[in-house]
Amino acid sequence: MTEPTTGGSMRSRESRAAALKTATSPEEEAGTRVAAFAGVARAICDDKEKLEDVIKVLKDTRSPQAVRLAALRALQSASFSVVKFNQCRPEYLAALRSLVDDPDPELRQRVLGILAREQDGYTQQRLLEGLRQPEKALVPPEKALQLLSYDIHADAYPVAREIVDKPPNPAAKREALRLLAADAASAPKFEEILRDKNEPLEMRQLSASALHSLAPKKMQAYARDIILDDSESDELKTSSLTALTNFGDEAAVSEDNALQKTVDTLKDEASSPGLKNSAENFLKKYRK
Amino acid sequence: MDIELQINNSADWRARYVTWAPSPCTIRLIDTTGLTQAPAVTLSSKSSDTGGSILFRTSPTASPAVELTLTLPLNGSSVEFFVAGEFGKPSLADGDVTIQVRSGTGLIAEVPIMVRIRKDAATLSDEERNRFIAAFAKFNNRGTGRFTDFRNMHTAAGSPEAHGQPGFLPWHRAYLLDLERELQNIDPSVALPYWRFDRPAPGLFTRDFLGESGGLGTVRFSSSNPLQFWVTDGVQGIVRRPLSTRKPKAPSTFCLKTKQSGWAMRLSILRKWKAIRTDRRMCLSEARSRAFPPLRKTRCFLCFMPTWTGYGLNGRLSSAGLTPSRENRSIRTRREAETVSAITCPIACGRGTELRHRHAHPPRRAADLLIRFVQPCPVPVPPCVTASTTGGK
Repeated sequence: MTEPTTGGSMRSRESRAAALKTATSPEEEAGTRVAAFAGVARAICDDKEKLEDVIKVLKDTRSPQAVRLAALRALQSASFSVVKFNQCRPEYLAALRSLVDDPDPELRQRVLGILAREQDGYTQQRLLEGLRQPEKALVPPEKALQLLSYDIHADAYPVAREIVDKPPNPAAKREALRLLAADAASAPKFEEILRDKNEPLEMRQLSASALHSLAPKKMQAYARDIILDDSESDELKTSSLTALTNFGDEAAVSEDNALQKTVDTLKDEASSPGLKNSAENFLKKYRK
Repeated sequence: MDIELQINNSADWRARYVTWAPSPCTIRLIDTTGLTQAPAVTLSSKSSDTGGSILFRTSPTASPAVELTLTLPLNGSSVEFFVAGEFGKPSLADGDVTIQVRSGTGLIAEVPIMVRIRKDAATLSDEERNRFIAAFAKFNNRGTGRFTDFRNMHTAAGSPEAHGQPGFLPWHRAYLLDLERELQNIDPSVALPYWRFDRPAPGLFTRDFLGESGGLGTVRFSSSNPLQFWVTDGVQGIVRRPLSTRKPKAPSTFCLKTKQSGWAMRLSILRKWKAIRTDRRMCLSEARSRAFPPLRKTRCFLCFMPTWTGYGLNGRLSSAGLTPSRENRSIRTRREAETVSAITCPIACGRGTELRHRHAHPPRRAADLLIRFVQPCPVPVPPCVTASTTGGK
């Protein structure tokens, strides 16, 4: 009969050491190693030697993908203890940088995500290179743009503007617009997209949200025009009403009788339930 | 007769929110014209059909009552009483329950209040949800609101001050309380909901509430959701990796009480099982009986009452993906209680079966429960074991 254990999940130093040994041992089954990695974060937190062992597993392309991802998760968990992990952080980041060209796409994407959130300059450089020269791309363009959006100083605006004008796919254009929402110089572009009824609804909604941050007064005027325009879609009218209800200039909107009258009509006659609800909320707030 | 009623010892409308704990209140006469003796007033409540319910007490530890009669001194001094929400009946909207003050049959005063508590996010009504997300969107205010300060505590610069330190848990409770107070400055009827992540919550990550993540992780909201205007560090929108579509493996649980798993023991049993199963000529039941001893009588190490033990089920628990649900029933006396776990057969067939464990309560040490997994008599032998001994699957 197996000897009884006390406590539960890897609280003792010995059990953590045993877990690490199992996790880093190539002879063990993949499932066992993945399970063992679940508890090694505390063991590697402040120990460079143990960290190196886990990094070796991460870098080993012969290890199963699940094991490598488990090793990465363990390192991420360990890095959350910022103070203890501080001494190991340079090795950790260096190891991640060495994996940006890894043949496994999921691992590569995860690693790039971690580095992008760390606002790592080298990663940003490689992502920008991939956007400019697609043959050097590490991830799809929409993913690269999303990762670059974590740092507004990543100097991604010029390439994002090019992608908005010549998008490789709709997702890339969407992410490019999202990234440009922090760029004040792109406000005219957002106005142009919002005014263009031929643009897809999603792009126009994104442009409305971006303008809402970059130029709130202009957005308020556009929102008003959209609500008053019978040919506009219900979805866009709903977004505009939501913007005015939650963030509008109360004094200006309260005095706008034409707008209130139109919204009153929408509340009664709109076919979309979302638009009706938004109209009701608007009138609850602004009706005199 | 004019009176002054204070909730939470304040006449401010922002103080008119109570929870389950008794809130101190006072009432006093402010105009005694025409009164020759101290009047008696009755406090009661009036609530809408879906509104909250409140109870009154004369002191924090007194028995609650639906009505309270107080005598108000003619000299205008305050009389103290306490109001608390009736447990299980919170408000749905601000002011949906009213404190009424009567003298005789005449209504002297009415004060609308709210029984405001933190609720399960999956059970919020549409109005409660909309108020919450509107307050949060305002709190962010397109990236310029006070939320930025709360968020900055979680960046690398601020994080070491709180995270990973021994005081983290109480710190975080205070942090959430501060955040909730900020939301209540925007809309006083809002409370921070909680997420029961051990239960299904299909309405949580929808476009009308916290948003849906696309394949890329960008969160999408409905047109009427004000969170669509969320901005962080100047960047539009929210990125949240989509929940895994793979069905998660249920954790193995050796302990009936604490659901803690001992991985060290699990690994040693897995190795044993693997070593035996590598001999493929062996059938499953034979492998099982070789790897683990058959059920045998023993005594519970907790209470020394007669019981049975079997490690076969233990050994397979870790790889069978159990999702136990548990019902504890005291069946006879306080000395003996039965724990029933509904499990899937851990041997091979995966059909539903039950494991019953009887021992005296309370157990001597919680850690002891990790060690054994016992079966009582009569033994509910899992169906596949019965079938395998008779030659079936």
